[in-house]
Amino acid sequence: MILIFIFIAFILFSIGLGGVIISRHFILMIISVEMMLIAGAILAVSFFSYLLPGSAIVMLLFAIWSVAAIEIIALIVFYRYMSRENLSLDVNKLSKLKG
Amino acid sequence: MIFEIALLLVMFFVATLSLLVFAFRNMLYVILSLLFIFLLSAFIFLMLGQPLLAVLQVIITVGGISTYMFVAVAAAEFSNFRFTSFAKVAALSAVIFAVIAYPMKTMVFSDSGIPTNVLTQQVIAETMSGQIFNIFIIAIVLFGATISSIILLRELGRK
Repeated sequence: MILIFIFIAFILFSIGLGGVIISRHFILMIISVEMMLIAGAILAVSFFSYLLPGSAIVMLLFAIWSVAAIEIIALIVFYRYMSRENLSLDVNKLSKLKG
Repeated sequence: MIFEIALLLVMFFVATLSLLVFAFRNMLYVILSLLFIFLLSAFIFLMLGQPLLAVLQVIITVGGISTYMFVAVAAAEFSNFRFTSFAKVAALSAVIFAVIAYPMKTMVFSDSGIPTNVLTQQVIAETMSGQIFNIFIIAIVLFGATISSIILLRELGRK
């Protein structure tokens, strides 16, 4: 039974990783990383609930959720900056940024 | 039996929705499909017997993160959206899935359903229980790093 949960996490992770590698769109890359984080959360919860029942997984999930929230904050900041400076969302063109 | 069918349905919907993220041209539909992936992950937590985590997942990801995403994307125009090749993502994802799922073929399952490590043939529960403290330490450090990065961003924003 745990195999199906692991496969769900693997599917989500592989599609997210493929999206990060193939996509050059900034927002799609962030969304792909979100999918990979969710895959990690599913894998962690399935392993913990099957192998170590009763253990507190909430702290690990809080870390995952906080990383996801930080990514969205970075997305908002970068997106507003790019739209203000009239920059493209193509990550290949971001190398022109100096900072 | 119903549980297995529901799990397979969830697996099908997760795969379809996550591929649809790269198929839509409109960014709002992309975020809507991501929102449904979050909801399905909460459903998976519920199926794993963790209702508290499912509720927290719905509150934090669907209520918080997706709303922020909607705000971020709806605040600007989508004219510079660059379409990603759906077929390339699907093909590369299939290759990555085959590579990372191949060790599962050799994973040994005992009668009680507890998986063992492929290399050491040791029950994973015994090896994991010794690492719980380290996992929590890593989680706390990561949590502190994220909080401090928020504070750092605010300080940089003031300057």
